[in-house]
Amino acid sequence: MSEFLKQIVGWLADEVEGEETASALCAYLLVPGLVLLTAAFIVGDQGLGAGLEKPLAVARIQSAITPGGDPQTGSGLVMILEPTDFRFRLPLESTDRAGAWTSLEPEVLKADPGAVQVDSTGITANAPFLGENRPVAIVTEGSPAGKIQLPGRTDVLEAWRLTSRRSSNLMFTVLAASAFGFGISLARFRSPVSVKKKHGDGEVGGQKDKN
Amino acid sequence: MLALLVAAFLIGSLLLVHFSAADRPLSRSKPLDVDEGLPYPAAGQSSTVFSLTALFGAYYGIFVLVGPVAAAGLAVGSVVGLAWIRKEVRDRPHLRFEGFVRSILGEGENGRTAGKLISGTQFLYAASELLILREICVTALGLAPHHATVFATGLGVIGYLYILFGGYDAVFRTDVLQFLMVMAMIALVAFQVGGVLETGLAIGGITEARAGYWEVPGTSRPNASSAPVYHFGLGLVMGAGFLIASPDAWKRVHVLTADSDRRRVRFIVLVLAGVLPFFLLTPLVLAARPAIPDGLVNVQQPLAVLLQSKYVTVGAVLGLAASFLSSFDSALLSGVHVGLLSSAPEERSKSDIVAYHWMISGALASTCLVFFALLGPPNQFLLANFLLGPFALVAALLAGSGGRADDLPAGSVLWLSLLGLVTWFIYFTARVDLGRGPTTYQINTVPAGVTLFAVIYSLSLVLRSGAVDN
Repeated sequence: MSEFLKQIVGWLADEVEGEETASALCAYLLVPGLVLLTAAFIVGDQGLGAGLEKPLAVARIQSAITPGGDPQTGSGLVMILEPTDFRFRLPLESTDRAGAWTSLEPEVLKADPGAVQVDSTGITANAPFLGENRPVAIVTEGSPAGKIQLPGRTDVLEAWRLTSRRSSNLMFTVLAASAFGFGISLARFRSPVSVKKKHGDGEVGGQKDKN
Repeated sequence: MLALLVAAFLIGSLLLVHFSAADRPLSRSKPLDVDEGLPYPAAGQSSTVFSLTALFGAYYGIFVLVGPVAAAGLAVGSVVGLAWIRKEVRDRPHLRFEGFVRSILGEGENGRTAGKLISGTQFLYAASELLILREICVTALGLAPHHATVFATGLGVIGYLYILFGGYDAVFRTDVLQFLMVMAMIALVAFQVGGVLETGLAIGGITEARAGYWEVPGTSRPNASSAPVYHFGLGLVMGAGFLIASPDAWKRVHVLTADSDRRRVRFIVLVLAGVLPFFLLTPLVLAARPAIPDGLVNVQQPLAVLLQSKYVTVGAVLGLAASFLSSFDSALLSGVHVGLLSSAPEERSKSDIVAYHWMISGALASTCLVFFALLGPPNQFLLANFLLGPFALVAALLAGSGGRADDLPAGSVLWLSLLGLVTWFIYFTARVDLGRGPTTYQINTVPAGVTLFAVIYSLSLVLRSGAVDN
């Protein structure tokens, strides 16, 4: 990693030959890149390593419907857990019926007893689950306490609410388009510098002197 | 499908800008001195006004809460503002746009101060666009807050790249594409709203202002006989002031006026494009009017129609993105250009392309910093509301100085600006609950903004006449 960084710094030092190139580097690469990274960093609570999507999505169950009956108040949680390294505990207010339904096969739960644990005060899960490489659904009864316990910290449950796929799709679409634009920006910055090195004149960032 | 269309629109416009810029690259010595070959300035003007209507909700809110008389004032004010700019351009014949701006700002300290004030206002306006776009994405389109932050930032960076690659050429060309997107969105929404229109028409009282909004001073009755004149006057000053203080509007009018070919017809087209959003708003207002209660604003309410069918949702996302890009780019580029032209003479010894790169990257950085800093407060419309004051201040200084900042006594622009900004800041923080979400009562800051305009305008007139006498 340090060698890679040294190469990048060396490349930048070679490329920056005076204020004109420095300003172009700033405008074409540094500032837009830093802005995008800052946005990703602000919203990625687990840093860039975990990406912009959280490994857990939670939806509250608030009603129950029976065949032929009126809707009634219900209380529970649905959790969708991605197959990634993630451990959490969801405290639940005391309930007489402690239990959960999962999309895991019984054999998986038998082989890995600590994968999902339920008691009257909450539910704990340790992902990834043995032999499972798809998202796992867990449903449990009980009123959530409004928080989620993670290794080293506690977070509000609302921040882990299930979001729509439209939301993710639009965000990644704009990110992809930004990356595309960034690529054009890099090419426009890079190619005139090489022209300048070869011929010692001409353009910066694609500009020609009209005068 | 929605994501694919958004990607196609954004990547397509980036490629359009890239190839357009390759064909007409920026000049090293004067990268923004482009007056020729800029197409359809009316498209950009319409998109900007539409942004005020749909994104900011300012014009829409005034139409709904105060009534059509105030909206008519806004429309007439827009015409007055454009006419003022045209008069100033015609009073300076044979000047390129850069020469025109320099003649307005002058070469002295007043001009540098006014230039910085105008630039700063435009950058803050761009930041407010980001905040409001994010808010609409969260409340109306259902994006998660963190996704909306990345969405808005990404669009902002894409808009910045348009300007960086192609300057005015890129902005004017993408304005046309964005105008078509906005019109498509309006057509889809109007088609969707058509069924609700009959309900709206059946509800009476659409000509009256609601109690508690723009009430005539000295009277407690919401619809005093003087109310229409008062509302029209406030709308007129607001509409005119916004355009007088907007250097992107100066650019569009200059492009039309400097071109001798059918200049009057083209100016009329520009004016019509500027008031078009008001006429297109009418069915939406009639349909939505009863559904916006006083107090806390639920942004989702008036925009709920956007999610009623997948085609409207697609059109809405593209239209909102297009409207945002048009206004954001115009504000950022015009702020950069005025900032460059108002720099001190000793700073102009640098190659302009260098200054352009530093200025534009600084503009993006500062705009986004303000955006990130203001993500916390519950009211994402605060900054836009606050900008009423700076816009009124700039418009008053320009109008009061007769379009020549140098005609005012040296240093007076600085003191008038400080007076105006401090006064406005004190009023705004006392009047608006900063810890609360957006409310309908925020439009009641408009009369104070108009008062600020009147005071600074009067002071400028007095100072100017004193300077001329001396």
